[in-house]
Amino acid sequence: MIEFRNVSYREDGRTLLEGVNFSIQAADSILIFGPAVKACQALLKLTARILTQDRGEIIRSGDQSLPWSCAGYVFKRGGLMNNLTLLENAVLPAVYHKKMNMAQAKKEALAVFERIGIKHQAFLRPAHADPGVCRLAQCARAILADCPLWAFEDPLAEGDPATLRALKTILAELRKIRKKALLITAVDPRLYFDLGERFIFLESAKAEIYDSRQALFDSGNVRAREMF
Amino acid sequence: MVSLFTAIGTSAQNVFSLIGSLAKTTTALAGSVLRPGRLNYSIVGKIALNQMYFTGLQATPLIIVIACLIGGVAVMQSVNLLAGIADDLIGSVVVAVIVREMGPLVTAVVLVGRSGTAIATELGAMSLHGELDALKAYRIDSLCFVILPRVLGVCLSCFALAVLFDLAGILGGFAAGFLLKDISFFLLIGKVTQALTNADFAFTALKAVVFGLSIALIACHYGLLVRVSPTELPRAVTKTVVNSLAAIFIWDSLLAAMFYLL
Repeated sequence: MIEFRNVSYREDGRTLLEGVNFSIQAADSILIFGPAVKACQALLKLTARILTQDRGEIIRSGDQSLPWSCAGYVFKRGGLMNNLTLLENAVLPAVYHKKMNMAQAKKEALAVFERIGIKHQAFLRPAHADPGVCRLAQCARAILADCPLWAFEDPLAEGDPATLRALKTILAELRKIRKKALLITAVDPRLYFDLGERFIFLESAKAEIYDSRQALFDSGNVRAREMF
Repeated sequence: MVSLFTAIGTSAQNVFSLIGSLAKTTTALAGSVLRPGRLNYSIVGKIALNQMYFTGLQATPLIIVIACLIGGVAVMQSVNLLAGIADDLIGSVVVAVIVREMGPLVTAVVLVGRSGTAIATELGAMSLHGELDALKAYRIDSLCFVILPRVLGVCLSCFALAVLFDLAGILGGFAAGFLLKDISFFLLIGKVTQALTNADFAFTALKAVVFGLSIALIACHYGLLVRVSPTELPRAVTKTVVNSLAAIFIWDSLLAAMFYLL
């Protein structure tokens, strides 16, 4: 689905990624972790086309001229339009691309909001809602957008217990949908150990890819193993 | 001496880079409008109407007050200077000063202060809060979603406010003439309507649209350049004000020269 070929990325004169090679398949569940937190975020953003690589190629299969080849991205902070309500934010990609009827889209979104327990805050603007609720609204947007890829920036790193519970449920449900790829960055990968099937360890701008948990634990990379 | 040339060269490079970037954005915007398949009219329309509310409607009282004051001064000055010498020219002077020159120009200056700064700050904040990154991730074209509605909103508002300025300026002038010099209201109306031509209306409209386009594009350009830190915001706003004012006065001179030469 997406293939990284010798990809390098620099930010503010600092090399975050150097010669990264890996591919993402439709049903992949990939955990990106390592001491290089900025590099993990950069890799996720390159996958979602938020950033552009300095060198190398990122090849995407399928018809890339379609605007619908997007990523359901959940930011750790921000990422919602402040002039729209949480509900309007959630329906924006679906209404924008699919030319979906606004009333119908809002009805569907409210059903998702109810399922994840934030229906009563649907009409708040992001600035007036709790950060956890905003992150859940981002999840609703990602679900409604129906993109081929879901990307999460360390979703369980912080938040109140109710939000974390809801996020764990959402991640477990998304994990079960085998047609879409799920990418998660983690400062503490132990929080997501059950979700990861493939692992990318980033250190000193270099990426090491492990295709299974067993491969990770059998590897000679003590630094990567120690993080679990 | 070398540093002087370096400074001049850098400034020239910045100016050409800005012009190039604005021209590229304008072309892309024209492309978006001409290829409507990419647009979602309900969303773009909603944001454009919102922009018109803030840029147009909220600026109305200020524009009316400024127009009445400038109109009053223009009529008083022209009556003082021309009464008894060239009475027939009073209408022409009022039309030239208020309709052709002051209307679009003062409206644009007000919009730079009110809306140019607001747009640059808003887009800068959107960039800092990851809102533009979210648009990129969901493949929502920021040109159509962010820039186009603001450009449309500011252009239409600038046009509407310039027309309003002209009307309020002329009426303010009449009121000042009537109250301070006891000049007949109908006499002044006659002189102004005699002097007004279709070319004056067209020229005012052209100027207002060009000024609105320049303000919105420059504000969007500098707002979107904010990337990392909130300290970039005041710099973006300052550059928006300075460059918008420069653009407006340059356009004003060019269009005035065009009007009188053609």
